[in-house]
Order: sequence, then C-alpha cells, then structure tokens
Amino acid sequence: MKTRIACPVLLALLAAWSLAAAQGPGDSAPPGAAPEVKPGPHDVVFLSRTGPVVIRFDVRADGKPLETAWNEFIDYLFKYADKNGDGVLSREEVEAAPDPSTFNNNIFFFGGGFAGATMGGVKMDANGDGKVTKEEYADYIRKSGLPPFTLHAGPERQQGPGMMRNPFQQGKPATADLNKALMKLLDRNGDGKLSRAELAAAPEAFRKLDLDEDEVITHQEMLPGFTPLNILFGAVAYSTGPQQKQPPDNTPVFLASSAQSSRDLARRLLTRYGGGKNKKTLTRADLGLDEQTFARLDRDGNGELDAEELARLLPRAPDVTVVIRLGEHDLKEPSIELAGSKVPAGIKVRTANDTIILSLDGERLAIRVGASKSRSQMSFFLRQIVTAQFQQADRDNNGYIDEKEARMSGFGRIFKTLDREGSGKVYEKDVLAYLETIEGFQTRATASCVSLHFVDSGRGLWDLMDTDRDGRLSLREIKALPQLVDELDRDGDGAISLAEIPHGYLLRVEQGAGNSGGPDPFSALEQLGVNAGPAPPLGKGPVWFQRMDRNRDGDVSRAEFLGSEALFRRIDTDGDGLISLEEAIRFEESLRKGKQKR
Amino acid sequence: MMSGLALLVGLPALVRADAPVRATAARALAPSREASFWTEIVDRIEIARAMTGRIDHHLAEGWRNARVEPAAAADDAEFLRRLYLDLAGRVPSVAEVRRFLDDKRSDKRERLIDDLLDGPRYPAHFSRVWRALWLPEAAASIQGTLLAPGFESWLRKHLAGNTSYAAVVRELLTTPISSGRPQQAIEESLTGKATPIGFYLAKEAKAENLAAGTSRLFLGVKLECAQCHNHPFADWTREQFWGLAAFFAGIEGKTQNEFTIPSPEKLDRRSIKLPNSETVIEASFLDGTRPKWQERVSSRVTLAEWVTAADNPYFARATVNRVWAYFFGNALVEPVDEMIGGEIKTHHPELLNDLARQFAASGFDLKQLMRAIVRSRAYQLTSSGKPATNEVGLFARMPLRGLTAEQLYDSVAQATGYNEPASTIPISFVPGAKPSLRAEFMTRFANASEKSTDFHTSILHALALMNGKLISQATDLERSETLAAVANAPFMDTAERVEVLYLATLSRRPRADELERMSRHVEGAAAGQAGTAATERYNRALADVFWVLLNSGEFMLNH
Repeated sequence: MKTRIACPVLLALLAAWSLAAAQGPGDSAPPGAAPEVKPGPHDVVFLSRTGPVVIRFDVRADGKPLETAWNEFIDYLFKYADKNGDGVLSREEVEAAPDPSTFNNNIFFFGGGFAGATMGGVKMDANGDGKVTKEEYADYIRKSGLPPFTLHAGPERQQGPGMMRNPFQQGKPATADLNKALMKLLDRNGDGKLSRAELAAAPEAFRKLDLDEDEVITHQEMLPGFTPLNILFGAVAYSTGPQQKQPPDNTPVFLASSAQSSRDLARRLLTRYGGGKNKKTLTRADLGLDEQTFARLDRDGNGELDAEELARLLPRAPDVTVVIRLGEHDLKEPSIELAGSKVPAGIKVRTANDTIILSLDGERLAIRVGASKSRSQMSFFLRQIVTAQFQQADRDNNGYIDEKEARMSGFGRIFKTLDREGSGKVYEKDVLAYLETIEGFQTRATASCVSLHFVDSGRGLWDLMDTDRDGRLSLREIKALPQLVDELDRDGDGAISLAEIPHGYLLRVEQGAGNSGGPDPFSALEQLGVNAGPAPPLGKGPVWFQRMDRNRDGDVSRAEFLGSEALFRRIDTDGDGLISLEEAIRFEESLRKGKQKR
Repeated sequence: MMSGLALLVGLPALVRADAPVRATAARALAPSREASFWTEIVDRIEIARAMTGRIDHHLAEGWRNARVEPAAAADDAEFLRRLYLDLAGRVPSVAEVRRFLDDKRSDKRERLIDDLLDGPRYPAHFSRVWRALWLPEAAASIQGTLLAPGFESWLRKHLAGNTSYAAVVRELLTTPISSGRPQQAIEESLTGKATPIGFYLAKEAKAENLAAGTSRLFLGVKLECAQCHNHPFADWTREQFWGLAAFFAGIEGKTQNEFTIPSPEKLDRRSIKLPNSETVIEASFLDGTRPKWQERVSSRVTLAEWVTAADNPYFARATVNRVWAYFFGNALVEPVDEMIGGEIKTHHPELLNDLARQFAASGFDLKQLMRAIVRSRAYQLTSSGKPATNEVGLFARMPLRGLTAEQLYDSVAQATGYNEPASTIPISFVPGAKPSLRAEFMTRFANASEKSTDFHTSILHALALMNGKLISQATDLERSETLAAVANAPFMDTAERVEVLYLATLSRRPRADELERMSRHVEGAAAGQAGTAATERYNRALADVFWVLLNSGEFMLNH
C-alpha cells in the first residue's frame, strides 16, 4: 500500500529514540531522579522565598504503607528471576533476569532492553561473591530507577552534542503566550486587569474557543497553531559529540534524604537565600527561621550560619504532613489530605479539587495526585510493532529466530531472557508472552512505586486556573475563576493583575517511578488521537452519572444531562450548574430511601 | 431560461450606487471597546434583516406569479434540527432540544441563529465544508491527506474571526510559494498550524489546474473544457483559459511519488506557452480587460485583486449561488460550477443579483449572508407534504436533503455519545495504528460529491450505518453512553427513557401514538420475567428502539 511509505521513518525514529532511552537512568537521569531513599515517611524540602518548608508525605499504596507494597513487588520479581528457587540468583539467572528499565518505561523493546548484571554502572552482585541475594537485588532495583519514592525535579536538560532532540518531546506553550491570550480573551475593558465580573463572564468567552464542544479548553484551543509535539519529519537531531556538563541542581524542591551530602544542602541554601551575591554565610532573616531553630544551628553564636552549620538544618520536623492514598482505597477517603490542622505562620493552606494549595508570600505550591494512566489502548499498538520487528528479525522466514538472527536484530541482548526453555529458538509467541510478562511487571512496578513531579510554572494565569493541572480548563475550573480575586487581590481593587499572580509551583504525585527514560512516544501519539479510542468512564459514582459525563471531567453539566431542567436543578443542590459526584450519589441515595419508605 | 451573462449587466453599477445598509441606533454609545462591539453587532443584524427582506420579497413574488401556495411553516423541532445540521453539522443534543422547545420567547429562532453562527461549531463545521470544496484532492492523495489538517485550520481561523470572504480568497490566491515550504507545510499541517499552501500542492503547482480551480470555485465558471481546444458552441475560448492560467505561470513544480515540490515563484512572469505549441498567451481577465501590472509583484496578486473586487461580475454571484445551494439543496443558477453558458437553469435572477450586490456591500460577510438566508421564510418552510409539480425553483417547500458523511457521522456521535478524539496524524503513517471509526467512515465516502437533494450517497451511508461498527457500538448497552445512561437512570420511567431517545435522534418529542407503541414494546419485553432477566430484556428492547430511530429515514435526512 502506498500509504505505508513513511512507516519505516516512524519506526526508525522510535528505535533511535529507544536506544537513547535504553542508556539507563544511571547515564541519563537528572540529578535527584533516583535518589537513595530510606524506608519511612518521605520528606520533601521546598525552599520558598521566605524560608525552607519541610513537607512530609505519608503515602499508602492499595491501602498499605508504600514500603510494604514495594517489598512485595521485590519478592515477586525475585521469585521470577530465581528459576530454581534456591533463594539466590546464580550467574545464569542474573543474565536472564528482565531489565528493570523496561518496568519503568512505556517504551519497550526497540533496540533491545537488556538483562544483565550491570545496569547504568550499578552491579547486581554488589559484594562480588558470585551470587545475588534478595537484599542485593532489592538494592539493585532501587538504584536502577525503581525506588519506592522518587522526586523528578532536576534542571532542564540542555540541547547540544550528544543530546537528542526527541521527536516525541511534549511541549507546553510559553507562560507569556498563555497570559497574553487569556488577557485578550477575558479582559473585556482592556485595563490590564481581570475583575470579578470579567472572570464571571469567562464561561461564555471560553465557549467560543471550544471547537469540539466538549466544555473543556485545551492549549490548542487557547492558542490555535500551538504545536504540542515534535514529531516526524526532520524532528531528530542526534550527534555523538561529548556530553555537555549538566548545571548544578538548583531547583527549589528536593528530597530531604537526597541532600545526604551536607555540602550540597549548604550549597542549595546559599544559592537560594544568598541574594545572588555568592555569600558564604546566611543570617536568620535570610533564612526566615524562628529564633529557637536558628540558635540551635548557630553553634559559634556569631549570628550567621556558615556551610557547616547550614548542613545541619536537616533532619527537622515537618511543617506540613500530607497523606496520599493511591490505588485501591475506600472512595470515602480522599486521595489527598492534610494530616493535622496546624501549619506554621505565614503559610495558608486550602484544599480544592483534590489539590492542597500552600500559599506563601508571593508563591503558591500546589500538591495533587495525578490521574492514573491506562495502557490498554497502547498495548495493542505495541503488539503490532513487536510482531513486525519479529518478522523482520526472522530473516530465513522459518517462524522462529535463532541466536544469530537475534544478534543481527534488536533481540540480541534479550535472547536468553526470551528463550526461557533454552531451546535456542524464539518464536513469535515467546516474544508476545514476554511482552505480557513485562507488562505484568510494569503494572506491579506502577502500583508499588510513587513519584513526585515538580513543575515550576512561573507567574502563569493558565496554571492558576487549571487547578487540577491536567493541562485543560474544565467547566468547573472556569466557573470558579471569580474566586481568584478573593485569593489574590492584594491591592484591594476588586481585580487581579499579572503582577499579583504568585509564582506557581506544582508537586504532582503519581503512581509509578516516573518515566526516567524521557518522553513517552505512546502517550504522545495517544495525545494526538492515534489509537486513543473513546475515553473510558471514570469509574466513580452511579452508572448514569459516569455515562452522562461525556468529557470525563468528573461532573455532569447542563449540556451533558439527559433529563429535564427541573430534574437537573433537583440534583444540583448547590446550584453551581454542575452535578458533582457527591450530588449524584446523594440524589441516588435519596431515591433509594424514598422507595424504601414507600 | 436566461443567459447568465445577460444577468450580469448593470451589476457593477448597482454595487457602486448602493451604500451599505447601516444601523444608527447603536452609534449613540460612547466609542469604547464594548460600545463599538455592540454597534457592529447591531449593524450586522440590520444588514441581515434587509437581506432577508429581499429574499422574502422576491420569492413571494415568484409564488404569486406562479400561483403556488408555499408550504406551511416548519414547527420548532423541524427548524431546530435543520438549522443545527446546516450550521453546526450535527443534530442538536438532548439538552439543546429541550431548551429550545421549552423556550417561550417569540424571537427564539433568531436567537438560536445568532448563537450558532457565533459559536465554536460554525467555524469547525464550515472549515470542513469549504475544505471539501476547495481541496477535494485531500481524499485522493497522500499529500492531500497530510495537508488537509493545516488547510482546515487555516479556514477555521478565518471563519472564527469572520474574515471577509474576499480577504480569505485573496490570501489563498496570493500565499507565498517557495521551494522549502512543502516539507514545512506538511509538518505544520500535521500539528495543526494554519496554512493554505495545500491548495497549490494538491493541484500539483500547475498553472492550468490552479486556473481551472480558481475559475470554478470563485467565479462559477467552468473553463476546463476550453483547455485543449475551442468548442464550436462553448462560451469560453482556449485563449481565455490560458489567459487565466498565465497568472499562475510563475509557479512550477515537480511531482514525485505523489508529492509536489514547487520551485520559487517567478514573480514577473505574465504569460504562458500553450502546450505543444510556440504560441504565447498573455495573462488576461475573463471579462477581457487587461491587467495593470505592478513591478516585482506576483501576477497572482493582480489576479486576486480583480477576482475579489466588489465590482467583479462573477465573484459575489458565484459565492451567493453556492451558499444558497448549500442551504436549499438547489442553486439559483444551476449548476453552481458553471453559471455561464451551456445548459444552465436560472431561478429568480433578480434575487441572485440583489443578494450578490448586498453581499459585496457588506464587505463579503459570509455570516451575514447565511444569517439572512436562514432567517428567510423560505428556509423556515416545512418539508412535509407533497410538492406541486410546478414548485421546482420556486423554493416554496424545503426539499429533503441527504446528509454528508461528516454530518451523518457527527450526528450519530452526538446522539449516542460516541466520543473518539480526532487525530491530525494520518494513521497509515503509524505502524500498527487502528483507524478511528470516523476515519473509516470518511474513507468509505471520500468521493461522494453529489447534490444533497439526490439521495444515492445517503442511502449508501444508511446501509453502512445499519451494518457498520458505529451503530452496533452505539446501540450496545456497554458502549453507548446515551443508552447506558438512560437505561441506568433510576429517576426515569419507560416513557421518559423513550422520550430521551427520540430527543437524541430525531430532535423532537415522540407523538402520543409513538410513545405508547415504543413504551409498550420495551415494557412488554420484560413482562413475565423477574430480576436480572427482566432487566436484560428491558434494556435490549430499549436498545431496539434506539436502533430503529437511528436507522429511520427521519434521522438519515435533513428535512
């Protein structure tokens, strides 16, 4: 078919991309991506403008403490690798063990993920005694990019020799462009501010942009012509020159346990609070610390903290503790909530739309649980590609690949893993069975690991409006815009200007260790509608509610509701024009009670 | 029957003599941003009202002269469905039908017209309508497929901003051509960037193809017949065809593997050599006038200025005629691509001239023209009843019209809740990718280009629907959003469920006899059963009702 002409182009791009991704996290992960984490609660330090804030994350996965879930995952993996069940892994078992990078990555197979004793410089057999214990294996998995708790907050990778301009890099419009477009749309009197009335009129203004009429505004609808993806023709620029040195990690968020180097902690504090003057010491005012804490740190009592004294800032008690519930849990319990009610002075906390927002002086940190990802559609896609690769590798067309054919194709490095029975022949069914096994590992890895993704969104209006940070503006978010005036109007003129917008940061909590190998081509293509299929119902609430919620934003709007207007008003008890999950459940319960009474 | 050329006499003079109709009421407002916004709105409504007046006047005169009694006015439901299909390209949602039918305001039809024209669906739908017309090659070649998203995006931008139609055509005819653009255009197009370059590449960057397309689409003149040699009875000569093609002579390209790579345009080329001949033809306009060239300015710019001028004798008439045909199924001059010479049929010539004059005077405002047409009495007549034999061309009754493949697909999707994200990436470029149902459906009917009043294609659509995945998914209780929601809504009884299915598909409430019959079918199915078996039978019967409605003639046609 002539339309197949370009298939090899895309396949080549995917393969090239995956080779880069397969370098492993040890080679390519940004600083902080795979830190060593000790079991126990997980503390994150946020270097706010007014001082360090310690946030403790108390994470439950499928109703269990995260560490328990992770240990069960290790048990499962180890059992798979330990073919003879003697409780340790022999050299052969190590060589046939599946590559942990494939559990942590939606890309699979291109160029061949490899099993082996070394991964990104980490040796499985740490003590070199010729066998691998479960403890060694656990440590290897942890260091291979699958610790139970990870923070992705490194600096942006630089383009340059040795780097790949990824064809599936997913982009986001510039904050300034979004600010400009939003002001043009909403600032009807052109005074450079958004009044309560202008924000109240936002639903009508946004409606005109909603080309697919799904009552959700995307970046592309907001900025026609915005290109969300780098894709296809001429998109890859790859050279093999020396790697550029990465700049030091100065992001204002890091895991407390990752600052194990006291010098690194001191450097971060001096960089953030030193006012850009290359200072060697910091005062109490610089750090915004209370007297007691400062006195404890200032051992020489000179009123200033030097690097050695600064390094002792951690560990310290958390300022805020956030409880996160992922996976299976009682729906009556929120997926995110604040533990306790006390927060330090100077921090305002509010919860909205499953998001905890910490408002500090001129800064705003949102913490929310990201949507769980479904791989069901992409699974089909992946099978098609793997089958095509197998057929290509089977040069003599005898229905299986032998070791020689495997070496000449991308299957060389996983041949032993695929050939579980040691027959020297790998059939298509073996490859597909292995793919299924890997998908099983991925599912378990996703359920047993948690990643925090830090985003610095600057002074952006869009991010302020997009409270669930899914990159789209839902009707509920748009209807809530007038509340921004209450929250942000510092000069009391009843409107918000761009200058009043706080610097926004986001910590998104997700199941899975995060994609340390770079952007995910499958989700990128899915985003463009390839193989996406209709979105499945959200799975919460009465069936009628889930099915009427056509845009899957978690609410049923007037436009989506199939009953009469009078009925809509009865169910929408708060009269906000949206039937929420809670309202739907309450209404159904009231109907049930009514029937029982009769 | 009159000669089309004769109708043109006097049109330019009329355009100059008639100042645009302006409203003054809103001018009293202060010249703030909001005040000028409202002034503009009021102006537009006034102009549309005046145009509607002309339509009603001319057609009423026609009915009187022919002693024909026009059909009764369409009821609210009939009007609502027709308007949504025409302006939004889909049937209205259940909520939209309820809101309109329950609205007691006397001006609710005008409000709905304004709402739809100003809403997001108008640019989305008409970008497809115009793209199908201007870039029919999109369905036939890989390059066309790749360029269609960017072309639609470009149209959508202009339709959303209600750019003057003349300005859009001008931009199309003068867009820069350079050798580096095709690859860039394809990349941009795939990612949704607006670009009209597809018009040139799909027509292989050949002067003769571009000339034929330009004259047919924008002037209502079919010149292709004169491309090879003169015909004894044809209205156009070979010299006239190549005289128009000479405006595109600066564009050249090579086509390899279905992809056209143009060379940089030669701006000062004003003539073209006849194929297989040494004869050189100078660029000249169709009306015989000679162009006034500007130095270092592309010939296409000179052509675009002439084509889109307010006093061009063809442009406004061709556009009005095409828009009229879109809304009524029949044009004022048939065929729409060949308004001059040959075997043309003309109805209400004075109406076409009148509308063309007002269209030009409005600054070629497409929305105003459409607003005027859909507000007219003729557009709002019912399609029911038997037409009188002498009604043809009088527009005394709305004809039944078939739906385009896109209207049908989008209506099924709207009615059933099937919501598949649209992809800008042609799936055949991604190994292992499944075509979307939409893509599958559109591919099957890619080349359907018959008049909407002929139903041949619509019948094929119907057959495809009845046997296709789309309907089987849409009426599957697990997969159909509407059906699953209705079946599981504990606050609805059988009659209310049946009513929702009618509202979703036929955009009206069921008549008493229909409601009684359908409810009986659904409840009867579960009679004598209990528990899960009763629920299953009940739901299956409800799905039967939905299937019947989706496959009814009333759903398949625009009436």
